[in-house]
Amino acid sequence: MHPEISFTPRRLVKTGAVCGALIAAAFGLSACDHGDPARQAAQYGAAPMLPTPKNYLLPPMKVAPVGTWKQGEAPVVDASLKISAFATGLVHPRSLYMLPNGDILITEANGPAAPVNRPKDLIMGVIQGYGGSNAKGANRITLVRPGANGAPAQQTVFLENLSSPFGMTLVGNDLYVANADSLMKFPYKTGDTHISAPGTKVIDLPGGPINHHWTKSLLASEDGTKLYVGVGSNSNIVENGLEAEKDRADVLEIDRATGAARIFAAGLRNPNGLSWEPTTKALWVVVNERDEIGPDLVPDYLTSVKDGAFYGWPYSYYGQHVDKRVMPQRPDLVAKAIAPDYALGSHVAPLGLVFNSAASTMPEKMRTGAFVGEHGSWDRSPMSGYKVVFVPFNGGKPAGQPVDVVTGFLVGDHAKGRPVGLAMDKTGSLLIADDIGNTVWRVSAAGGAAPAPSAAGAP
Amino acid sequence: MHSTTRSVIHGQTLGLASQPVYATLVQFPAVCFFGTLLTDLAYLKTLNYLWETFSIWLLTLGCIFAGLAGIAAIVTWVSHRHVRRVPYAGAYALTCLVAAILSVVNAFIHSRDGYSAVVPTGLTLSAIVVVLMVIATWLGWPRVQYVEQVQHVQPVNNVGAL
Repeated sequence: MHPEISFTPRRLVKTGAVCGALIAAAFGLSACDHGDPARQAAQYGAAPMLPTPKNYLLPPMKVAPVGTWKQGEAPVVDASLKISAFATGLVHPRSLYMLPNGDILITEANGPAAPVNRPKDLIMGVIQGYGGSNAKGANRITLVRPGANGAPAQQTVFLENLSSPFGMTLVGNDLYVANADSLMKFPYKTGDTHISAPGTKVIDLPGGPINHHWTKSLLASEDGTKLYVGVGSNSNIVENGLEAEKDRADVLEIDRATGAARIFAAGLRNPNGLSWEPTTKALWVVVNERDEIGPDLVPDYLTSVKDGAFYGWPYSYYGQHVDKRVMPQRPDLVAKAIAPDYALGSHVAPLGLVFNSAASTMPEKMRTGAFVGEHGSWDRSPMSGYKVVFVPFNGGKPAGQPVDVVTGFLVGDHAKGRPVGLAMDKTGSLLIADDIGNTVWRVSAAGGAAPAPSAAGAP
Repeated sequence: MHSTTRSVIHGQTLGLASQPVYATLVQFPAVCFFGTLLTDLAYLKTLNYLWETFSIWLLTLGCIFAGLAGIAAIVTWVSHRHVRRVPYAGAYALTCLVAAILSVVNAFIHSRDGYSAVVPTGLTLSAIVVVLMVIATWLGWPRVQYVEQVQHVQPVNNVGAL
């Protein structure tokens, strides 16, 4: 009467196995979408090659587990340079700032706790934790005074009880610190090694409860009347809603006298390393572009920031390449979007930027241009970034391919360190904050023109 | 022999649905996956990301409970010959399995960021899963007529004899 569609246990197990294999194959295919070295090579400079965006079941990813620098180990530089540990024993150092007397400030911070809004947030928390991104920061600023002529450096806790500090800048006797959610002002006198004053809040910055891209870069105008703050987006691609993106993914200009703020430039997904280009005095910034549309999309970039300009995020990337993940679309805004100046490659995650000058003691080939600290990302296999590069400039514009300056942060598949913020010190050497390595590295010309590094642990 | 087995404990002619642990657990994915279709449609209409967030949580909970129900189903299936032998038992199990697998895939689709988390693949999968669940419900529905027919054939005192 009834048809007997009889499935034996064995047959059922077999069916299950076939289905399981199909799923595994689908995952395998997506996870095996490797970044293409040829394509990567075509993604530097003014006109990067942009492949077709893809959607994934599981985006391609690779995360380097955290290693540790052993005594005497250091990242790798070429023969024209030498590297040594400038400060060690730090707690997640993120950004650097040189005071006029040559003292170096180091923020030791990581982001505020990320809320779990979707199941994915739980999984990404585990994945990024594996890569060291969840390490606790000390929420403080440490001061290092380099010793003269090889004397040991003096290292003191400068400012405590901050809230994920990142940006720092001094105007006169006012030291400004950009917390993840506020801009603070502290009194500073030349030579201070500790500030105990509680400080005053200048203005609230876009903050919690999500505060996805939390690092607030800070820069003062040369005349000291304006402050510029880089504010990252609150999502990868507005998956937390447009309301969460109010005043975000932009550079804010704050009038120092009145505290009034305006959006200086918009559509910059996660702008960091705000710097003045020394010859043209233009504002430059490095930007982390969007994830999950391919290992070779979208190239992160270095760009000058024009007043009133719109750089696309979230509606488009690299000018007017529409991102279809954003609905409703805004063709009116896409039409206004301008392309950035210089692509650094996809998922290199630039977080640090510093311009060198012709007066530097660094080798000739690294004087006119900018160093970029590339933190590295989970969203590409093989990994990219995890190094410091130099972008040569000519006449205030990038000229030529980026050159590797500091590598060797990845040893095997482990990340011993990840470069973040950069600064030039008084001797013209490059300083690199290494957050998971808990170290600040100093790179100088191998010739020995600069004074010997002072901290222990140098090779 | 065949008809005796069926007639003695007629409750077991309900197949997998007669297993109380399975019957309890399987309701969770049924409700969650149906809810996913509704919240996906709400997203399509409003483009409000909150509906997509509802969808992915519903999918995740549905998949977890579908996994637990699957364990209960496999234990019952392997240890009780009669649940395999009711009409459509295999078709029912296979339909449920496909619905569960598609929902796992759908959870990954819904974990994308933005519009492509739902439209078009996510929404399509949500709809297919609901259709499969309706088919499974029909396939796994207690065949009361059949049970009664068996009861008419065998005297009631056979139960006591066992």
